[in-house]
Amino acid sequence: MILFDLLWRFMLISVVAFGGGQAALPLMERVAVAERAWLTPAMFSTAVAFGYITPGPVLIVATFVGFQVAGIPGAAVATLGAFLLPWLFAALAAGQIQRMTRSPVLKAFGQGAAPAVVGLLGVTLLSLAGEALVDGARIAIAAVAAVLVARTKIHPVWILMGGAMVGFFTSR
Amino acid sequence: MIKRVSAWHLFRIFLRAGCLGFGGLGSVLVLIERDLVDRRRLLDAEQITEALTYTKLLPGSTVVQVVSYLGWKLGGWRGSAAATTAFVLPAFVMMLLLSVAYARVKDVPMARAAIDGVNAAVTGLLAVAMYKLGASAVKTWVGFVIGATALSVVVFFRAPIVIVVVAAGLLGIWIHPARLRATA
Repeated sequence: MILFDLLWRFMLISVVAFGGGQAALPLMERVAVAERAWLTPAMFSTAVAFGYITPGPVLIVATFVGFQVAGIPGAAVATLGAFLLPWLFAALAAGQIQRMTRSPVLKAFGQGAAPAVVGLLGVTLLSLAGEALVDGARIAIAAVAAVLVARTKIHPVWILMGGAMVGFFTSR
Repeated sequence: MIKRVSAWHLFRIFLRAGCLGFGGLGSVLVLIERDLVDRRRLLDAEQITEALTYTKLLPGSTVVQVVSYLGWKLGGWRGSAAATTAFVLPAFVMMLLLSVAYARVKDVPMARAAIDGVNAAVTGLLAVAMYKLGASAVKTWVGFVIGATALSVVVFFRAPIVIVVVAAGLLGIWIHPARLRATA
């Protein structure tokens, strides 16, 4: 059943997303684009853009994915899957299990998982760039966006809007 | 002692934070500090730092987990559930609206050009994110090997990513205790 699949996959993603919400982006991309073919790379790129535009966690991309797959119920279920276990872990950490969350084992796991996530982000980048950077104008947009976000305090929302406008005016 | 706050009150407090929480973890923490520490005097700054310390090693969205943690401290399980739901709700609604708009507009040629521009910009943003994440997570050659292996294994063997990450984590456990013992 598709709703259960959405719920389950996003729960799995949330459980291995060491490194915060950013770490979940390549995980979501791999699952949604490569493993389940729910979205094309272009659609996922746009979902990420929307994730930057909305307030709060970037994992809210799950809502977009869920909607594309199964409408509003899909969106709700995917969102639940993305945040349910992290909520549970955090509430447990606040309560009784504090000592466990400082355990060297957890830290060591994270130190192994985090570089893997960086590698996966590379895969995602290749996947999205392959479809997005098809001509000189788009490559230029990407380069300028990278410089702006790395070197200035301009919020990503404005950079993305700039990309939209340049894309619009340079289209054939 | 931390003052007990009702679930409904926590809902309202974190709904506001969820609406204003642009700019990532750092900005949201500042927002929470200004509201809960300075304005409402429900917490100390140390307690927010404590929340971050205990949640940043956990998997999942750190910003949400800080909210869940603080919600629990202020109002138990119901408080934590209320705070977390309230915090995610504005983003959920907004993303839903964007998703609907996208579905309607994505095949319109004019919108298509703008979307393509946005997607190109996203590539640039993600490249920088990868660089920053790499700088903090990949500090040794071991980390580099793990990252490169993860990338290769997924690209060439289509390995499922959950298995790759879990394997890398287990490798981390296998490697690091030796170092931890060495520095003890």
